[in-house]
Amino acid sequence: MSCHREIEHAGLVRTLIVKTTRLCTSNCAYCDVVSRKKPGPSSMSDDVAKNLLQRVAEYLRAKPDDAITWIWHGGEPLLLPKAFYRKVLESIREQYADVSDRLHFDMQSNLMVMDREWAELLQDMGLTSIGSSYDPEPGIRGPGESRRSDIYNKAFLRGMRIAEDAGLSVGIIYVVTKKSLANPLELFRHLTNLRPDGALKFNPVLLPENRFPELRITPEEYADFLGAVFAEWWPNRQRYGKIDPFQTLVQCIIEKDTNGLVCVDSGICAHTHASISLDGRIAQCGRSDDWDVMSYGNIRECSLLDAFESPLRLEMKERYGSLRAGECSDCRFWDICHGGCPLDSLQPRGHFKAPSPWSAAQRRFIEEYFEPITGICFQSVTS
Amino acid sequence: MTVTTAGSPLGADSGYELVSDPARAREALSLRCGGCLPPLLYETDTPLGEVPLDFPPSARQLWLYAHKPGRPATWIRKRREFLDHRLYILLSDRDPFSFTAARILSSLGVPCGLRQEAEQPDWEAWADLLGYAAYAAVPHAPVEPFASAMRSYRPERARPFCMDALAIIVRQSRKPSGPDADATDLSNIREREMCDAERVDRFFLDRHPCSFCPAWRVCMGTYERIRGEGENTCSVFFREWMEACECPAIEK
Ligand code: SF4
Ligand code: SF4
Repeated sequence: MSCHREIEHAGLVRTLIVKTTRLCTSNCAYCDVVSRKKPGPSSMSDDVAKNLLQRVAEYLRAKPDDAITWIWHGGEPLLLPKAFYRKVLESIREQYADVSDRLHFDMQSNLMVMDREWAELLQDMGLTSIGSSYDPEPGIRGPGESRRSDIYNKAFLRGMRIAEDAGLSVGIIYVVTKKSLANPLELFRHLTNLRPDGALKFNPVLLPENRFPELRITPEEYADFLGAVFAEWWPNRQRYGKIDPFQTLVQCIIEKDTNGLVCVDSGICAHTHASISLDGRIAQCGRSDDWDVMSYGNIRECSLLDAFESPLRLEMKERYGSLRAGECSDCRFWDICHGGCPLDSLQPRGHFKAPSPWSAAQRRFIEEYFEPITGICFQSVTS
Repeated sequence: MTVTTAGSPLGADSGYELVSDPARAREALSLRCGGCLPPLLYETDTPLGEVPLDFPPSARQLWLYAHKPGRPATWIRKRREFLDHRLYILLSDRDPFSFTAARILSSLGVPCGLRQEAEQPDWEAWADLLGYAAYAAVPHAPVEPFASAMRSYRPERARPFCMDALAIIVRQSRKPSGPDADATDLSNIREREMCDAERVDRFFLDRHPCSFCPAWRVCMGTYERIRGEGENTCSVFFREWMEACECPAIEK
């Protein structure tokens, strides 16, 4: 039995989370970028972007079967001047055309400053969709000390309309907090009414210690939230379309295809993910960069290839073997969980060898809701 | 003769001729080449059973919009005439008996439809009629606005459901695709959303009850001022509407 998914090194799609700025138009309660103010520049310079492009091209030339998904992240990436992105595009056209078909851009933006010109520029970069976030609950997402959601939501709706009119589809991530638990179904309807034809994804709120304890939820609460929504989604899934994590689980459990698993469940993030911070630092991912752990060097002196093969990743890669032999040995959900995000183990325990507490949410959701509602019993994907 | 649609409830360019005088209706129907002329909408306050049906045979389509259905005993025996004149009978939900009348007409094989005009719709009565139009296993003529909207419904697509049988048959008469015309597609929803951007913002920014409604996708707040109370609400009706459209046992 394999401990984690076999990695086909040829033909890997690497995910690069590129943090362009720590500035933001909003002050969302659960945002790590806002809460962990760091010294140093507030935005990525043209030089860092130039270096990064060189590193990306160098990687793609060395690995002709691989591809890179480059996710513009922040802060709010649309706060950088448009010229910054235009220069990146120009360089790709002029210097890196030979690898451009294996470099795909994506973006996570709050859309508050979206305008037609931005939409066109993003399309020039090849984007067909853009990820965003929204919360109807007051006081969660918004600018200022009191997080003015009225301001956020108005600008967000405007931005969403502009993006969609230009032909960019907008996917919404909804972060489940304590406030979401009061009426999951109403909330689900509100979100799907807003986006009748767009993708919607639920994530649990992850808050650093001492920040907004009143918003914190337990894995069990998250599972129960998902369960309440799933009971509505499953019989009406044609109507509601792609809602995650449901769609991905259906794909895994029914179609036995685990390719859509997100990083925390995939068991391969040690092979696939890296993030680049404003000053060119390479970390495991956006989360590890926010937390200042798993740093692999700086693109000035470290190639992406070296970062992906860093011995620091070894411990992370070995995690799966020890989990499979230990705490996760009898678990029938291994194939779609892999012990969850390694950082959830590292933060409190200082090592990678424990499963994430959020794995319990996945288990509870499947056993208490997915299986009884669908009548389908989960069986190991690899068996 | 000039064809006038002035005064038409759907606007001057709606593509049918509106008459309210029976003599004028007869005259319009006796024109030669009736098949090339737009449908004639004969609107009357006379109860259905008392409308004289002494129209000349014509290839021209005749829609009879009777504000009051009146007692069935007065019109049930006119079935043959309804069918001979290929009448399409429109009724208004302002008269509560229209719901029963539509059911009877449909069971007699006479195509008919209801227009939503009441200041406060009886949503339960609409749901009952929907139940008959969608699920009744006995042979019956189509009842609009349900029949064609049901054919064009797509679960994954958000479109407001048009509750006006007249608007639907007008659209059908114009479309070469006939009865399969997309009856809900009265206006391009994207355009509609655009010009109603402020309205949509208001629903979502103010957390208006419509933004939490399970039927938003087939209504989009159209009936927000006449939502009803208790179980007799637009939301309950529209949920049943979606269920009927998505019911795999119904042949569309
Ligand atoms: S460390 Fe955790 S958050 Fe980061 S990529 Fe891996 S699973 Fe995802
Ligand atoms: S059905 Fe009623 S409650 Fe629902 S969106 Fe329409 S008007 Fe609002």
